This record gives sequence, structure tokens and C-alpha cells, in this order.
Amino acid sequence: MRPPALPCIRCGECAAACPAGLYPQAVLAALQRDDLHAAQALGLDACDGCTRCDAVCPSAIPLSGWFTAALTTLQREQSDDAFARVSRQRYHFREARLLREQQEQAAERERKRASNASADAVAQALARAKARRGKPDRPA
Amino acid sequence: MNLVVLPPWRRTVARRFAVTLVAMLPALVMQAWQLDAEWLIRLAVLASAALAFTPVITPALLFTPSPPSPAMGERVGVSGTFPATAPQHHLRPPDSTDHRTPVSRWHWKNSGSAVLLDALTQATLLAALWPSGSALWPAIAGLIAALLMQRLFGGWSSNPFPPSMLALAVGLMLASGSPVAGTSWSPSETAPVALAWLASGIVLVLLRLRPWRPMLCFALPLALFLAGPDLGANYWISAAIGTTFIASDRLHLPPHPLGQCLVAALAGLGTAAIWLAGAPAPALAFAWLLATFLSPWIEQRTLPRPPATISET
Repeated sequence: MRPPALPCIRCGECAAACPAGLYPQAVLAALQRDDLHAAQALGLDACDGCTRCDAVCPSAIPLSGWFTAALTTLQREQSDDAFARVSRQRYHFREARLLREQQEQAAERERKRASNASADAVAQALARAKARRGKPDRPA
Repeated sequence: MNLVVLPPWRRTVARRFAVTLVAMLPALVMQAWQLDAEWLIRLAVLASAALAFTPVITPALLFTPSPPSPAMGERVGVSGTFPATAPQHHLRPPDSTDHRTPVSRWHWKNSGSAVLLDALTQATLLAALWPSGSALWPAIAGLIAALLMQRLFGGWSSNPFPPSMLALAVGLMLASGSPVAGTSWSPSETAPVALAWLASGIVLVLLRLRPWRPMLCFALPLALFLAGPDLGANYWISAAIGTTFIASDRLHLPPHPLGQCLVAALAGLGTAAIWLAGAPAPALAFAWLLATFLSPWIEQRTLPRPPATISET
């Protein structure tokens, strides 16, 4: 059973043990401030969770637990960002599609109006023909 | 993968503090033997004050292991709603709920010993640096103020200033109304004491409990100053204690060696400058308070980023 964690005494054992060359105490301080991006700037992404820092920490701080939790949070934020990006793209596609459909409908209406206009010309021709037919027939 | 196994004296905080205190013992004996036996009374009074006052403030303020940020736990999604790639037990540090448990005897036995040893170390350093023959009540008040401030800041890692230096500064300010007795020790008296303090520091370096670079960076400006012909041996003990136990205290230094050296060199230059200005007693304290005040700023600029490439193991 691991003993409860004491405050960090900044002894540097974790930095000496880290195969990724990180300064886990500085990363931990950033995470304790809830500053994920500062931790990322200090190389949090390079942590592969080898737990060597846990093994050497005299304060028994679960450093790798902190880092894994933070990496998970970052991963979720990144997946949220990706979801937002895809949603935004879909929204723009939908907007473009609606605009295109609107334009197509307008064009269709215009075409129908034009065809209606041509239908009127036929009706006039028919009326004229009917009017001609209405005249008395020529004697055979 | 081979996990690093530390030697026994480096495995726990309490052992580290205990070894530091034990390393001081030869220097303490030498100081009492060479300079004045009253020094032991001063040490006993200050140590008693520290040991009596620490349990008063500690249970309420410190005996709760530092919990991770609650916001972090919520964001991680401990309830399992977010599919984590890591195992469930890694989503949160294993002791993340300990801050809700009451103080137990186990805590008193393990954490409490470290807290008391730390307080004892600070009291010893203050007793060694307090001007001989001066009233003791300002030192007691300064020590209590420093320990209280340390607890209010949240413990070792959150405290910006070395408690012994803060106690010395507060004590000297409180004692400014009363005359501070001047000492006129001869080099033959102070040299063995200073050497004993330096030997204690070297032992700690050899045990890999303390870094050597900041010691060197602090000592170099002082050595240049102490090489002057008219300077008495009264400075030697302050210089030795500052080099071995204050400059090497990683709690108030940046993690990177370059940052450690910069802070220590700044403190060394500050100490030498205040000595040159003719104020021997408060020099070490005020120089270190200034240097540690700038330590976070130096830390931000000396930490390597981006990190080094991952080495295959």
C-alpha cells in the first residue's frame, strides 16, 4: 500500500529518473494550478507513464497518475475540438446546400414563369384560331 | 524496465530531514565548543518553541495530503462517462480522496515526523545564525511567524521563502529597537566552526541529498568578498551556513541547475553587497529573501521547453 502523499519537497529525484528528460515537479506544479497548457508546454505529452517518478518520489506523490489524468483530459479536449470542427464543417455544408437549393428553386420558379408566359401565347393563338372558326363558312 | 531504487536515506521525506539534522550535529558541537556554550541554550529554546508551536498549527493546516484539483477530477470524467484509453485506476491519482479522511495516528507517525524535523531544522539554522548575546524573544517571534507563514502558504512546496531566513529577517527587524551585541571572534575560533559547517554540507552532497552547483555559485561571490584584508572572521560562519544549508535547499530553488545557479549567485552577490554596506547580521536573510522572491521568475525562464527527446529504455 502506498503511503499518503506529502507535499513535494522538490528534491529532483523524479527529474533524474525520468527517461523523457522532463521535470515532473514543474509539470505537477502546473497541474496543481490546473494549468494544463503550461504542463503541456513543459512536455507533458512526452510522458509515457513509465512510473519511474512514482517509484523514486520520497513524498509518495502519484506523479504518473496526475500525468495520465491530465493526458486523458487533454485527449478529451482534443476530441471535443475535432467534434466541433466536424460539426462546423457540416454546418457550412448544410448552409451551402440550403443556398444551392434556394437558388435552384428560384431558377425553377423563373423557368415556370417563363413557361407560363409561353402557355399564354398558345392560348392567344388558340383564341385567334377559335375566333376564325367562329366566322361563317365559305360557300362550297 | 528497471525501476530506480533509492538508497534508504533518500526514500522518504522524514529520513531526508533526519539525515540533514544528523549531518549538522558535528558543526553544532563545534560551534558550542569553540564559541560559546550559551549557544546551546539558544538552540534549546528555539527548538522547543518550534516543536511546541508546530503541532498547534499543523493539524488544521497541513495534516491533509495535498489533494488533486477537484476540477481536474471532474474534467477527467471519473464517473466513466468518457471512454478513457488509460486504465480506470489511472484516471485519478490513487490518493485523491485522502483529503476527505480525518487525521489519523498513521499520519501523525509518518507525516508528522517530517513536519517536526523540518521545524527543528529551521530552528537550528536560526539559532546558529542569530547574533550572539542578543535578546532571544525576537528570534522566537520570528520563528513562529515564519512557521505560521509556511503553513499558511500551504506547506513546503508552496512556501516562497526559506523559513529560517524569514525568521531571521523578522527577528532582526523586531530586535532593531534593542541593541544587537557585536561579536569579535578570532579566526582561530571561527575557522573550525565554519569548516565543520562546510563539512556537513559536503557530506550531504556526497549522500546526494543536496546539489553542489548552487553551493558553489553562492560561495564564489562570498569568497571574493571574504578575501578582503579587513574583514573579520565573524562573517565566516554565516557564509558557511548559507553555502551548505540555505543555498542547497532545493525547496526554494528552480528545478533546473542553471536556474539554481542563478538564484544562488544572486543571493551570494546580494549578501556580499549588504556586507559591504556594513550590515553583517541581516545580509544573509535579506539577500536570500530577495533571491527566492525572484526564483519563480528565473524558474520560468530556465526550464527547458520543449523537452528533450525520449530515450529508449
